[in-house]
Amino acid sequence: MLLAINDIDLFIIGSVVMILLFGSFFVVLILSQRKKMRYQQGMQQLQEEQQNQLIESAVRSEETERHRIAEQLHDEVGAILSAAKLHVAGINSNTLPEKEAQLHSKSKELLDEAIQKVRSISHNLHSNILKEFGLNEGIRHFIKMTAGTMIQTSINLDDSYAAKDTEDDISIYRLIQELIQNILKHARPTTLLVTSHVTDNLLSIQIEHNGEGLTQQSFEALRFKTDGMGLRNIQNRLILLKGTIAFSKDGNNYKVSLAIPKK
Amino acid sequence: MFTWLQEIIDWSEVWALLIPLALLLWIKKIPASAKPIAIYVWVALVLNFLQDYFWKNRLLFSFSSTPGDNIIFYNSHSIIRFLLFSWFFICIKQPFLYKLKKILPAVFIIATLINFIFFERFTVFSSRILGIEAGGILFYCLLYYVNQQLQEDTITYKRDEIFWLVTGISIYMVVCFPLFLFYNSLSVKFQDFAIGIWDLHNVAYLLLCIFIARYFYAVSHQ
Repeated sequence: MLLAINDIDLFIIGSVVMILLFGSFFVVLILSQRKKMRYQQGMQQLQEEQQNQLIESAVRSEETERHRIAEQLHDEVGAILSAAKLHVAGINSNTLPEKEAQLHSKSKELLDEAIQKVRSISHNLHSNILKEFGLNEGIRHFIKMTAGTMIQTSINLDDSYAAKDTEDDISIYRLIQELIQNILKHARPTTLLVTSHVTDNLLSIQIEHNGEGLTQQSFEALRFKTDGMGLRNIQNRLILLKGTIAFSKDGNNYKVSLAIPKK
Repeated sequence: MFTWLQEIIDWSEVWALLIPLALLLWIKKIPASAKPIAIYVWVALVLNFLQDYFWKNRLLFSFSSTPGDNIIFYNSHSIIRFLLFSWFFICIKQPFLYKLKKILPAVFIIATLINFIFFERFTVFSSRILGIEAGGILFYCLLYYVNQQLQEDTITYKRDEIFWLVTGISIYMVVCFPLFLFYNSLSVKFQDFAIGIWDLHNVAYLLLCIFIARYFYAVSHQ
């Protein structure tokens, strides 16, 4: 009888020990997995931060370079062209023979065009209007300058938008600049509508056109296929702004929607 | 008063298998690693049904002189379970002690043959073989967890269907290892206790079937 009781005791002790051993092992496994997960999350976060810092410094240095080139174009090339125009204007064309008078007139025309082009390039590289009057005015001016004469444009921007960080405004401006330039170049629309809406923590911008635009699917495909700088720039700036982009088609119109959190 | 409840528990080794089986039927193409488990569910259903049917109807088995003797099915079930679960652990191709995992089924077969040829009859409940089976499968489970621990990737609990299946097998084997090991002596000296304690096995088996069902559910959604 004593042996039988011992057998039951042994069985119970054995069972309890097995369950405790397995339970402890399982708890240790789960805890160590959680520790590993936290470490990996930390590493991932660190990598993301590092990547963002790299993108930020690349974008900032690109912006500085643009500014420098724009200034040199405006102050040096622009000044030389203006001086050349003054000199050419100083020539009295009435005293010139007919052929030379025609050449003189053509030179003035070309100089005017060159001055205009330098101004336009300089403005594209660095918008003073954006800096002085803010994002909305910058966008309005850019659209007027690029698309205004070619197609029918409509701009409806939320004027309650006030940026805290002007560096972000430059990135948003560049995004819109890149998108509109792409639309004009590839989609060939006849109408373009740009609207914006501001909430407490989000700036939404929509660009709608009737050309041959992109859907989300074609954008995703292009994103991984093309080596173009444009899409990479768009992506980098979106990462920097922590924003999102969405492409959609509504009837005959294509729509690009940007959502940018306000900082 | 609770005879109906006892009846349900007694037959749980059969009806519990219908849960994973229902989900198994939803899988269009069974992946290689799930095949051993799928085969196990079918084989276990047949063996468990026969063992319960023989026991409940007090049928006389040709090898036995005792009515209701169903031990041969328990021994067969244990051997088949070890071989199929070993196949499963080999199929999931974890590099940690992979050769040892491949050798273990052969060692088990040799041990089983030696045991039944020289030491025990196949018609007697073999605590030795069932104990070795439970210990062996637990060893496979431990190897799985150690390998997971050595990997750089963490276990994604929601998506890792193999983790949950191994956990189900581990729970079943942890509960059953002492039960299998002591069952022979308990059934001789304390028969009522031994019969009563088998309900614990049935509950653990139901849990195992639920974990297998979860595994099949995850596989069917892949």
